[in-house]
Amino acid sequence: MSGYGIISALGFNADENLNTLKMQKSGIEKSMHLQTSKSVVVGEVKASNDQLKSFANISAKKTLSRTALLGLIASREAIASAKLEAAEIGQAGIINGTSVGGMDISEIAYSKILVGKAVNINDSFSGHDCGHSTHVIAEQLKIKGYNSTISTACSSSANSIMHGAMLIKSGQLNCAVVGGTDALSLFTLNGFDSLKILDSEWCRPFDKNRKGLNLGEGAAYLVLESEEHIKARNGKGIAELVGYGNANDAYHQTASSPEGNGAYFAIKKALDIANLSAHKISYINAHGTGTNNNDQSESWALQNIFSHDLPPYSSTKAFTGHTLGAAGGIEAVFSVMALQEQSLLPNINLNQPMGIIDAPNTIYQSKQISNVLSNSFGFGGNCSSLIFSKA
Amino acid sequence: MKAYIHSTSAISAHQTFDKSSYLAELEVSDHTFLKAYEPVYRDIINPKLLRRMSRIIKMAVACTNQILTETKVISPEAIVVGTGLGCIQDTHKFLKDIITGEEGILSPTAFIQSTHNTIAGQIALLLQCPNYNFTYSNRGHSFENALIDGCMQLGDGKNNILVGAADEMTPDVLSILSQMTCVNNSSHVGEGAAFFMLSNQSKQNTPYLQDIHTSSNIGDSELGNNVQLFCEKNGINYTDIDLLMLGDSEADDDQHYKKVKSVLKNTATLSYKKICGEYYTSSGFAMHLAAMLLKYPGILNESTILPKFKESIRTILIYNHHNAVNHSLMLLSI
Repeated sequence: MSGYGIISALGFNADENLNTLKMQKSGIEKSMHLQTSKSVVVGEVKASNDQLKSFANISAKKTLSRTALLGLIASREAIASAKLEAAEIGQAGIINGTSVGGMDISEIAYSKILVGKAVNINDSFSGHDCGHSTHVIAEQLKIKGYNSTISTACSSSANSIMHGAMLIKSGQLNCAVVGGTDALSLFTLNGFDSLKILDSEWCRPFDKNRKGLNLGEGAAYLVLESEEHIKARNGKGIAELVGYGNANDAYHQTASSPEGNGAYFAIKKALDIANLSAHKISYINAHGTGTNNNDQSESWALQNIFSHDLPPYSSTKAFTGHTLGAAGGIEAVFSVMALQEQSLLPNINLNQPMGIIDAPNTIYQSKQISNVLSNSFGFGGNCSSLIFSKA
Repeated sequence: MKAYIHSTSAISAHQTFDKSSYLAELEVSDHTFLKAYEPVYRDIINPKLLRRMSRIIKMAVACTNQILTETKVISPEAIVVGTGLGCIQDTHKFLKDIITGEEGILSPTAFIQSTHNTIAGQIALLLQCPNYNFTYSNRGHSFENALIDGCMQLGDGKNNILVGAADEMTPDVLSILSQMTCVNNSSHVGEGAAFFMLSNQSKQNTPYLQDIHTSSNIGDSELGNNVQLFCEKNGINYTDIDLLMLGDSEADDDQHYKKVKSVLKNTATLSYKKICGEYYTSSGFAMHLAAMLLKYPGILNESTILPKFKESIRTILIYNHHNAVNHSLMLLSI
């Protein structure tokens, strides 16, 4: 892994994100840009669509979903940080993950249509599908290799990272930009609210009295390369993706099994691929959404994998909100930052531990870190785990 | 590596699900698009589960059940699905409820069913299958992405990989699509599902996918080169190809399809979208039809829709493009 880029409620680039994490300052607030009648707090990127267009070098006249804009900003930073040259970018692949694609634009247009107002149909809906943001990123950044879009709800971008790694391992790609993007939308906000798993106040992952999640938005991408490729171009590896695993919980369309079977299998597969025993994991960036169901299920999966060797863990969702299809990418970047900084990331808003496993780490503090596990679980029973190691 | 197709099942605008009367009669529908000709689901899917399923899930599960019956596989080692628009009926329903109810209290059912990976997730749930479960949604390459991953899983040592394509159309979505400049003939819009059980084990009389190639935003000359390189890479001459299956429709005057026809000018052609229509994952249907023609040479004998071909079709090349952006080549043999 030779580079990364990130945009979230914590900042517009990697440095801003890391600094805000260090300050233990959440990016979750009342929404400024999403027009909703709901009284909730969200992890919104602190910029309007017009501001994002300006950051992304996109003409103000062009209609582009927030999902595509966020993706473009973060993927451009990833490529710059890996110091890839034009020819290398041209041959690279892009594997993008998103859950609702351009829904932020189509839902506004559709609300106008329903009251008989005229809208530009092409502008409003041609970016609705998940593949659109991938297409925009590939076109704008001149990435001409294999492109693919994964949509597996909240594990989408973790799966993109996994898929990119497998394409490199199988020799089909030498270099891939992998990650994902999702913007806040009324669709997902009302969807999670209808499931009664939104906390209208700040979410409290792994707290005994947690009430639900806060939604967020953002995008993050990594640059993955084969060893031959990075050596041939004299690139510098920041970290190594050593393990990945995907499994299905096969319990319920939206709920996790109480004992966390899918999560257990995903972590187990990732450890097997990495050829690491569980006690070699130095830090876990948990999925930890703050819902009653997830945090219980994930705690049991961790208990069953790690038993007495549970390493420090934390959820960073109380900083960024749950960024859905972008979460796996954002938390992969956080996991790599933990490796680079040799520091544990904090789990904020914790008052009382749940009592299933030891309490999560609650302060930003230095620790020797060799291997980091990052979990991402989604609807449809989709469970994914990634393991990053020092380069 | 070769991906042997141990079974395939598809639902399209005409009878393709019941293999005993495969494409026998032209189904005339009074719909404004090429609506899927669906089987009687209660004979195939547990009626208690049927109630909650949207059409895209019913089509995908029916195809899966037929494949599992034919192959006697209980739990695939991977489930990989491609869908262009996902569960668009439930997505639309939930969005409409949000807007008309002004963000009031909503039933979560449509939201729960709306995520793109509901299809692969529901199959895993029904089969209690804990294995690898991926969903691709990448415009006109949604199925191709899934197929490439499925083949990679075979290469990684897994076997019995369920790969599928599914998309559904609704009158509301059609009304939006028909106003878009990229859709020049909305009566040609289709929908459907096509599923496959891929294996690394060869069996007698079993078609296989030899190779697949995708490219985006290419011109005519690059397309011609791609066809040539693809055939060379797979060690076949143009004369080895018995049938060229194309995603064109009879009416259109499309330069890309013309180009491929001109490269393979002596090869018989078949335009498969007259059966399934145009949609993001129509190439899934193309691969299904190719596998059927290879496995059952006489299957079109009674067909009133498609012409009969010479007795032995051994090798088929499929070329499809979506909106001149997503191009794909697939090579199947037996």
